[in-house]
Amino acid sequence: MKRIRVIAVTAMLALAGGAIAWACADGGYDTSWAPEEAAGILSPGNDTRSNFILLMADRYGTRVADPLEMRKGIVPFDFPYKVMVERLTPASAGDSFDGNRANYGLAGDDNSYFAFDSGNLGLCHTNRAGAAQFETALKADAAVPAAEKTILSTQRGVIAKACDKAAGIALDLNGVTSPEGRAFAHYLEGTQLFYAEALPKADGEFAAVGTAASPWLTETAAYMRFRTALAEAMKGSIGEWGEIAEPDKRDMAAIARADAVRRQYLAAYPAGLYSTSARNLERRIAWLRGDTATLGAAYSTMLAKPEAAGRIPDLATMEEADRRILPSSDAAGVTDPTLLAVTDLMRLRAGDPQYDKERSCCGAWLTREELEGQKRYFQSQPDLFGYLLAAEAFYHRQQPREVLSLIPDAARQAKFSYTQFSRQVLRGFALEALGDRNARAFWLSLLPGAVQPYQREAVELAIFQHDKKAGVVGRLLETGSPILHPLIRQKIIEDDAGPDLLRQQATSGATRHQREVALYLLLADELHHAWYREFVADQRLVGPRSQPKGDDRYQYGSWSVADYDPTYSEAPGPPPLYIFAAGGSDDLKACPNIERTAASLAADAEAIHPRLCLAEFIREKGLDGWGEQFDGNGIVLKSRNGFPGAPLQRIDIYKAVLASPQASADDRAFALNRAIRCYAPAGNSSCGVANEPKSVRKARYLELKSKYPGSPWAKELKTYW
Amino acid sequence: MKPVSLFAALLLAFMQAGCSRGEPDRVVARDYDEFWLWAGVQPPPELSTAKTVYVLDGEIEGTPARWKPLRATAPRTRGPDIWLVVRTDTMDWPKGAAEALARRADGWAHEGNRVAGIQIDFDARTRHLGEYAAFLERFRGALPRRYKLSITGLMDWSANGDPAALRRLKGSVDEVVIQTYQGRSTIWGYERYFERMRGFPIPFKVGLVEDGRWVEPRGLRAEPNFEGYVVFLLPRRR
Repeated sequence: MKRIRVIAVTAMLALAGGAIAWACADGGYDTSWAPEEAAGILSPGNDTRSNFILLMADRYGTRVADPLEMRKGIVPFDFPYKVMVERLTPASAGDSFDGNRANYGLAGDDNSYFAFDSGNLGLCHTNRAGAAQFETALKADAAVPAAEKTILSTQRGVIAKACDKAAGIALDLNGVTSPEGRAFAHYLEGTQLFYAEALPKADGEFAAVGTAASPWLTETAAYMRFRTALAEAMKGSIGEWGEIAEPDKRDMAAIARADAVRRQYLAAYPAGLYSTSARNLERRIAWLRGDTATLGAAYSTMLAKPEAAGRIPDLATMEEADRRILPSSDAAGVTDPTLLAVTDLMRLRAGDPQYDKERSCCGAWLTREELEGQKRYFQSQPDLFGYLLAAEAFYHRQQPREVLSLIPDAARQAKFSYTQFSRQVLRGFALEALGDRNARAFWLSLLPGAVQPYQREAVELAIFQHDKKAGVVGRLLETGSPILHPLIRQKIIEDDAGPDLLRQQATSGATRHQREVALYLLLADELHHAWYREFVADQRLVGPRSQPKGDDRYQYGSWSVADYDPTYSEAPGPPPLYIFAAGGSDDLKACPNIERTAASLAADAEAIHPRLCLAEFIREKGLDGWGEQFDGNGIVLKSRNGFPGAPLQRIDIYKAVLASPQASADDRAFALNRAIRCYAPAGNSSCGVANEPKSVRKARYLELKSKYPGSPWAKELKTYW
Repeated sequence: MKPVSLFAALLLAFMQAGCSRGEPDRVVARDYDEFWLWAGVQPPPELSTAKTVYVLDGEIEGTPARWKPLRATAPRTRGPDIWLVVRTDTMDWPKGAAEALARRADGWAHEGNRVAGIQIDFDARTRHLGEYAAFLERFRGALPRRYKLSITGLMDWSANGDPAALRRLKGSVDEVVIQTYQGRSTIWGYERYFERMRGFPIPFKVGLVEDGRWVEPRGLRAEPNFEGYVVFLLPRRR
């Protein structure tokens, strides 16, 4: 069951540069940057299946992540289950549909790809394999004359090719007259009727096979009677919308009959060709009956079987249990500690107390009393039980002090299991909640033992949040910092570094990417805050850069951690520093490049044409919207990176130029043109927080057209917005 | 309630899938007549009088991408227009996928449903819009004309998407249903996104989440391409 996850809306993503996504108070929709979401710890906020993977790793030593995946690139955090599963196995070359198609035996066969055809009950998935077995059995059967074999084989081939159109097939079995041949013919009629969903008739044909000379045929016909009965039970359980109806609207008699036929088959063939499958389908029957207790017991038995250490955990069982049991949050019949813990954690989710009073998100709150009642199932796993007691205290009753007494400090370890680690991290959360002065030291003491996949990231996020709360997050960029994760370091650079720290990181940041991000922010901030002299000095740090060509110029840069998204990519791309390099702004209309503009402004910050050219640079190079932030009511302008004052906006430059008596006619026309264009194409300002009435916009247009009719800036513009 | 820690508060904010409060209006299914019916959601009585229902049929996902059915059988409805919805997490669809989906839609029509078309539910990021537009062009080209093509979209496409990519989309899709929610909650700040949706070039509907908060942004109804609301129905816990 998926956790309630805030996925993926990149808020206010600006073009090419200047991406800024401060949608929520802390980091936007994509990433919470909270240790609770780090995925290396058991947590109510995790996907239930992610908790499952961690618990199975503790129990059987199964894998949490492929070592190769962990070594490659950035270790993600705050990632969904899908990503966790992908990282269990190494990515193989040619991981695309076309690349792997042949490996899956799918070449040229779209039918098997969409094996489940509309309108039927999904019965066709056994058609191909069934046809092959039929051939083998037929060939081996000496009691069928050769001529009849040819007919039977041809007719089976007809069904094999058009399972989804079985109702339209007319079998031609006239030439089959021998007794054994007739038995095969009945089976074939049954098969066609089964795929055509004429189920009662199909059952009659399979029954007519009786006891044939071919043991395969006799047994398979008996098993097909069960599959037919099961299909009938499914059919009686489906509602108008093609959904499985609520249990009270299902055909219980048909379900009971299917189970009876299943038991008959198993009694006759306890070690038969299909007995494993018939036994497994007990769960299908229990599910159709709405019998969660039987399901819970079945999954508990399955999970109790040890798995091989180092292998991938049994995802199939886990996902089936997740799908069939957890939506009702009913743990009836569940005795397995792993499955119980997963369900318990789901029930400790906060949900939405204001709007989801019935807790449709995650089931009734787990109480301490109920948890105590589960104690006997956790006898083999006392640490896990202790963790759950503490989790209930923390997430449900919000009693951090209880956590401290339930979980003693055991932070200094060479290596943690996920349960041990989750216990200590929860203790850390409790220390934070209580404002304990040793909280930071506690987090630091966890680091040496946090060596299993995704554990270190959780601790680093906790330290990051701790220092952020204390207002000293900048120290995490100093030498000897415990923060190694490049994205957390970049987050600090983007959100918390002031001018001096940016300049320092621009030259001595930990990675090339961090140095480039720091320099990009530094230069863009300097221009937006009229630090022209500093810009001219710092611009030299950019060095020579190649300029992108053609369509590459319009690539949407996702260099910022605001765009970090573990689902799509792990590592951000480079910031467009080339805009500040030599040759990066030679294409501006009526303006020199940014080096010369900045030099002019360093000499005279109020110089009119250079100011317009600065605006032109911002406009053309994707720097609009710098410092715009949504504060809950509307867009406001805020300084980034602690530069004093608000960042400048293009619209203010145009207004100042238009108000200046020194502005030349050409500059006025240019300023009018650009101020009018601010509102293209839909009347929304793209050059700053400006809610100017339409009359103002219109007046500018009329002024441009009437006063400067000969100017190229007037000729070029045909309308206003 | 005792004040909770910073971390717990963040967790709480996270799980509420939003940051601000203050929209008292909630989306109630009976006030609407177009819906999404997802897998695992029991059809509520409102569907009997619905005008349009987007029914999730299955998903194409994984590497290599594979079809995974999510509905036991085809619906057998008589009243509403039905869209066959396919959810996907990839643009690397196999050859023949459009034809196969059309065959499924044919099967639904054969059962007596009024099938309007196929809807693709893909969270195409704004920065991937151009790539998505190209994918949709190929898909539209392979989809028989008797079926319309609908896609789900994100609110920031208009504000931040490449206008050329949006124009390309317009050529392939008949409508976009803009999602205003994540998980079970309306996305905070949706009004702001709608300010930037003025003049959205493609016929669009607005997707709301049942029980989510919603106050219609000013001017939405006056948008020439606005074609109404679709409510995403939520599962009821037994």
